[in-house]
Amino acid sequence: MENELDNKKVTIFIDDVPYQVSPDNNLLAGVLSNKLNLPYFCWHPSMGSVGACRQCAVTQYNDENDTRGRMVMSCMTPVVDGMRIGLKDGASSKFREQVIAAMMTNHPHDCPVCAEGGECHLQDMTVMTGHSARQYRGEKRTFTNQYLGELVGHEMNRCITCYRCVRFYKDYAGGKDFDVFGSRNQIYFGRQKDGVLESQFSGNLVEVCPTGVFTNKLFSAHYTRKWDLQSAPSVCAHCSIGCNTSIGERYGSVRRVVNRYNHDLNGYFLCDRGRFGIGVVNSSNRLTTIEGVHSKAGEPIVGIFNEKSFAKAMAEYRGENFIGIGSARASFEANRLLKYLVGKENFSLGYNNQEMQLSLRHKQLLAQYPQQSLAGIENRVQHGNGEKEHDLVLVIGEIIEQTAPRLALTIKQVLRNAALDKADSIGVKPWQDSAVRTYAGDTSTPLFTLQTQASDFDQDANGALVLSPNEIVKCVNRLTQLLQADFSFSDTVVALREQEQSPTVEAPTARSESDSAASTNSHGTSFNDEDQFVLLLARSLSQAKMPLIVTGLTLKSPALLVAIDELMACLSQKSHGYSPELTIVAPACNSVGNLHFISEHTLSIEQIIERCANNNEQSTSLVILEQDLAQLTQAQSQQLRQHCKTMIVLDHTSSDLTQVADVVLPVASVSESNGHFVNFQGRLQRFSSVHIPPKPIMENWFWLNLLAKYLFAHKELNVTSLAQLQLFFAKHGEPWALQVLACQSQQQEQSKQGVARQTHRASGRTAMTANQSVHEVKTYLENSQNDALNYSMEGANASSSNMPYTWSPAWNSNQSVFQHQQEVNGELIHKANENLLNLTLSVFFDESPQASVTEKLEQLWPVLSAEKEDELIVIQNTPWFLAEQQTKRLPEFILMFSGNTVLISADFAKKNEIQALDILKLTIDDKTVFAKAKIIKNQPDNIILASIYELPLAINNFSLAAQNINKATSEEIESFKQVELARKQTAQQEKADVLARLKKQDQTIPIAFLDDVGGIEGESKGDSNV
Amino acid sequence: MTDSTFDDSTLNNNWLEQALTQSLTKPLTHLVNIGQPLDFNGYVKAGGYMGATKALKEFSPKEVLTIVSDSGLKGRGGAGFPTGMKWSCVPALQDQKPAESSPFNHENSYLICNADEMEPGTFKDRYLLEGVPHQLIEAMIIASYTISANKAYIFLRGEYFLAAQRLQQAIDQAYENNWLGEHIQGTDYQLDLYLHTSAGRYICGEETALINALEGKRANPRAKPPFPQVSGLFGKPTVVNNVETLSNLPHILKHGSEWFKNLSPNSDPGTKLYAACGQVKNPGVWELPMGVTIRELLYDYAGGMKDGVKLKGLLPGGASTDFLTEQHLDTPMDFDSIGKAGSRLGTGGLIVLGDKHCPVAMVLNLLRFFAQESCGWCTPCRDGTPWAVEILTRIEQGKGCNEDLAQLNELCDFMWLGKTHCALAPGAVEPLKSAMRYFEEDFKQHIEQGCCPYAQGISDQKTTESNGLNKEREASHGE
Repeated sequence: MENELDNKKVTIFIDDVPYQVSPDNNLLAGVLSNKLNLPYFCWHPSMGSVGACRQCAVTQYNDENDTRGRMVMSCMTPVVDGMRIGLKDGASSKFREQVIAAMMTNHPHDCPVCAEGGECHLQDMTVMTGHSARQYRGEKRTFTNQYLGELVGHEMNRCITCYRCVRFYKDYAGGKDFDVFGSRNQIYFGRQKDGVLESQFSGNLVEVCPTGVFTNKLFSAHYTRKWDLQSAPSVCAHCSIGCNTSIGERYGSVRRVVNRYNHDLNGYFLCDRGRFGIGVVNSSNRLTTIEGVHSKAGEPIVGIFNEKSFAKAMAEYRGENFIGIGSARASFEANRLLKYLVGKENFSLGYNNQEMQLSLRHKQLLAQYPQQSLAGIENRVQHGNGEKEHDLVLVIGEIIEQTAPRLALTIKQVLRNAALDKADSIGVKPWQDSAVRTYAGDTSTPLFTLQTQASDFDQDANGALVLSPNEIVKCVNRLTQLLQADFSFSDTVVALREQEQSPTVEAPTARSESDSAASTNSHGTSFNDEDQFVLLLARSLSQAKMPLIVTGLTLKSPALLVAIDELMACLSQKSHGYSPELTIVAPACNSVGNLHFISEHTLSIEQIIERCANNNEQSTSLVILEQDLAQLTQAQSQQLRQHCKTMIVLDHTSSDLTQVADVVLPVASVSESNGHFVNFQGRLQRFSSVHIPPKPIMENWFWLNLLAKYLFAHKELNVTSLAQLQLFFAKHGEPWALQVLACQSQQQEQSKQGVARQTHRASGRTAMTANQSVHEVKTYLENSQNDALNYSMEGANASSSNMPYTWSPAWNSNQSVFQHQQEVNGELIHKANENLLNLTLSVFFDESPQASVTEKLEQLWPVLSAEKEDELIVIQNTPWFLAEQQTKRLPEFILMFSGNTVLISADFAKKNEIQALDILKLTIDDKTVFAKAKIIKNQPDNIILASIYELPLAINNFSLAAQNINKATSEEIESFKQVELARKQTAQQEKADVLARLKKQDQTIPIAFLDDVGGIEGESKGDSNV
Repeated sequence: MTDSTFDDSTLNNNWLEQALTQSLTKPLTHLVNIGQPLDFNGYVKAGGYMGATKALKEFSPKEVLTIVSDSGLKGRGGAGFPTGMKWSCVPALQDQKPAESSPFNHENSYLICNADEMEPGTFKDRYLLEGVPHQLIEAMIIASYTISANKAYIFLRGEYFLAAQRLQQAIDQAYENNWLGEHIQGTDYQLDLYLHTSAGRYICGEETALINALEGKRANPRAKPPFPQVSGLFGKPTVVNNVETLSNLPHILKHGSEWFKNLSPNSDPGTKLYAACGQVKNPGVWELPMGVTIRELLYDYAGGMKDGVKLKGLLPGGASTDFLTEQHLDTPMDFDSIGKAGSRLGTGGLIVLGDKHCPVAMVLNLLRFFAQESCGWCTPCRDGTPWAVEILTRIEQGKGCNEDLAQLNELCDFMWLGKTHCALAPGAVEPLKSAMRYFEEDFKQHIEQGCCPYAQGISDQKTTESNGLNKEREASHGE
């Protein structure tokens, strides 16, 4: 592979020295790939070249006798074999310095108060060009800044007009509410007027901006310089994509998340849920003390952990029959350990029967269809190679922009394949961004969406159809049948039909639907549209060389997964070179990891309740690991609590379950713990702690290890580090553990002394805790975990695959990442092992015909399919920032929420005499919630789209009798308004409280790592759960 | 519209008779009538649409291309690029085997007439647009036919209200008389012509910025390649030609390329619209054989310098050309000769500076214009031009220092060709750099005396000044 790459390279001469560069990229990328310093601004490795800033000018010579040469912009210059350029020559050096000087005529000298300070690309480039004396004597232009929401700050005076922000927001991410305004040296980047940025990717502006125009507001509010942050490589826990993140911490509080480059997954960009959602680890609702275990009188409950009293307390529960309930948001190791402790017959993943069926179908699909990484989907490596690109995208039953925003960003890039190919046909390379857009304009890869609700993608879709979940399944089946029929007849039939109607012709999309639906009977119309949609889609699919089908589990419909399986089988069978690919969005960050543990023995919630209830002596107890069990009905929750003897809950934040548990053990959050998450592909990804939480908060595996010792009395398991735990399972021959250990030992070889979490210039290392103790913090205690990272500035700096942060000499900003890449935009030099979890099919899929599998699943985990004809179906329509159970609590996200709404069809509204903006009262599972009604066209009559804060996300696609929806009385309306207002006020208060608490904590940090002996008086009052 | 009165038509007939005598020597302007341009019938009577008839009925597009290429016509917008060569880059006109011209290759192309005349000191296109609108329409039919365009646009400077009115009337008449629309004059050729009035930016005169503006995008110049002939308007092959360039076509078709070449004694064929404004007695625009000398233009046509004013310097072709001085007066005004003298022919519109006016103030005025009109895309132009304005303002106010001159020189270097995204900033450098060379003493005096040496005596003159330059200033400030 590497040889192939090398062979493709050509030799160019930079200041008369030969270098190998790839002819597929521009000259600037070639220079940077050779780790040479060449300043730039407007070019971005994944957004290509536009030639605006003129910063990357070099001198190009005709031949070795040419001493004058001519100036070219390296980002706009293709690489040619044998070309000669100069970086050090006087003319281009001087010009690059002049460019900075010109930019500086308007850039304010507010570096001390700028959040970008110390990691500012503009600072780096200024120093790099040698510009150090100011010539300009005039005034600077000033702008008025805008309010862009709770997440991104705006300081336009700092702008150097590189156009990166608008190119990212509008061109790359498809945002519509951000643009460039004005002209000459009054160019303004922002919104038409003040307002919250709509894009899920607005936080990337902070990283894309080469200076401090766009800043992370949460970070700025509780700010520290980059060089003072202690950082750790982590993995985002807020969806199943598994984007790599870098968490930054100081004084015991998490300050921010930034993108951590992973070539295969997130590349350079994160979604805002991942970037800002980390704030929940600082929540006031964090569990900080052990509940249900009595401590000695007078003993502090924060800052120390008394193992003896814990052991004594646990001993009381010994002998009870414990069922362990794992979770999709706990690490792979913790789930594995829990299963080991309770045994496979007593293990559950907290799924109900339906979710069990769904998971097994999910597993079945994953085992058959390997999941591409995001880079694979985007074909980031082999652009221009038309054969291997997706030429059709079909999204079925999953609103990916809500459930996996980063995937949606990838799909947006896939839709550009057609444009890149078109440009390629006249010799315009993908990196020539402006030229591609000039020539190929809006050319888009065919896209079809089949959803229960309108999606962001609909406007770009060749066909967009909105149906109820059951109808989607039927529609997919029809599609499969049609494709089977067409294939088996003959290709000529398809070809002939193609002539009648080219697939590029506008499909009967939502656009045409909206016109017709308003006037005609919606049933008749939608039927017609579906016919056209299916026909057009079948034709397009049969023409596509490599279609991509995207779906997910949000609708909780096993039948949909079966239907997609059949569609995939149909497309794959036909050997016309078709190689369809499937991408399945999983519900949570470790859902796919849990598929590894699923077997026919795995207990569903219904089975657990049954077992608890049937056990007369009431001796069945529960250990619940980081679970909300939010999908349970109220009745089920009550039954579970009533019938189980002891309920031990491990979690990091208080929930309904922790309120009713007998014992609550405070668990470290993702920023404080170590382990692996398994992403949607099955990729085992390590996340590392950025700091150690104050005791008794401890990592989940460590708590389970203590339970093993004192509750389960496992003699053989006595581990003190995660590595030991992994070793334990490796000794049991578990392949994942062997993979993980091999990977870790490889990393340790790369840097024997470990990698420093802190930067080499971190300040106050020895003084940080001086107000507590004059003794220097004992680093051996912190670093005893035997992992590759040190809580220290000692050790190698960031160049391993496990980079805690990115930095390189002269490159203090995130742009430094190219120094750690094999070549620009490529793999990291120290590439992490791709540990893909081997998901073998469990026994009962072997050689079982489809029908018997269904039967078997239904036998084990029966699902009452008692959907009544006249009942309504409620579908979650939560905005992306609230579409994850944990980040839903982030005050900033709550403040972005416009309030509870339900979207109903015009027909339903008419029938029930509901006007737009009426307040409706919905009775769901005996709970009453209120929401504002909105009436939309193109919605099946029996579908209700709910965006209701109080409705747990785990509940979706459920039926609701029409009588459970009523107009609220005027008193109820009043109380609804109160609730809505109170939610915002609480969020506002929480935001202020958290900030105040963390700032206070900066002064008196809880130094759990001093030693167990030195109990520090913590801030138990402020932290206790309310 | 009612028929014109008898008297008027007699008058017209007399005028027309007179005009037609010049049809072979002043092809572009002989039919110009600013008071009342010829309507369709009048234009046809005067020999109009003969060139287009010939093109459509007697020649294939490739044959028209050959005729135009043979004529040696060069673009009159300022750059002087051979028109035939520009057209020949359009894929439809490139040599292809018939088999290859399958539907896939047969892309629509567009013709755009660049009528966004905003170059300070330039008003030649306006003369044609207001004076003989049908000539442009006929020309565009010929050009569109040649490049296989079925849609053509006139991108007109927004402030040219009268031209807009007259062009739209002429377009409507052309539709009525089957010179636009389907099956033009019984042929299979179809053309729709649209008039688009600009929202008003100097940069829209740059052809790719013009295309962006026409597409409804920001008027930023595009990166090249791809060139508009390959990927222009809406990604389709597009040719952008200046009004004056296009206006030559009916006559080249009518009289042949040899005639066209013989119009000029010079290597650059044809006639050219020359103009003069500033400190001259008789500002105006004249169609003259290509290659008339500056002296002839200045003294024979523009009536020489105003009384009591001596020539200090002049810009030969609009604001974005280098100053020339007394010593260059005998330079023929063709592309090569003016180039050799160190400037550019540009639009052929002289801006004449007299010795009573401050050259620094003039350059400052020009630079203000360019800084104002920068699109803001690339750094040297966006931040360099205002920087130059800042320095020039101080110098003009007598607050300059010697380092400022060095810095101005640096800025000229910084904004020069090859370093910017388009030609706007280099265009701004041309008058600045040449002024600093020819009028170095003036710059130094400002600094040494701490004031503008011209300040006295100028103030009263300024108010009576009424040249094109001032108009431009108003236009640029009127945004």
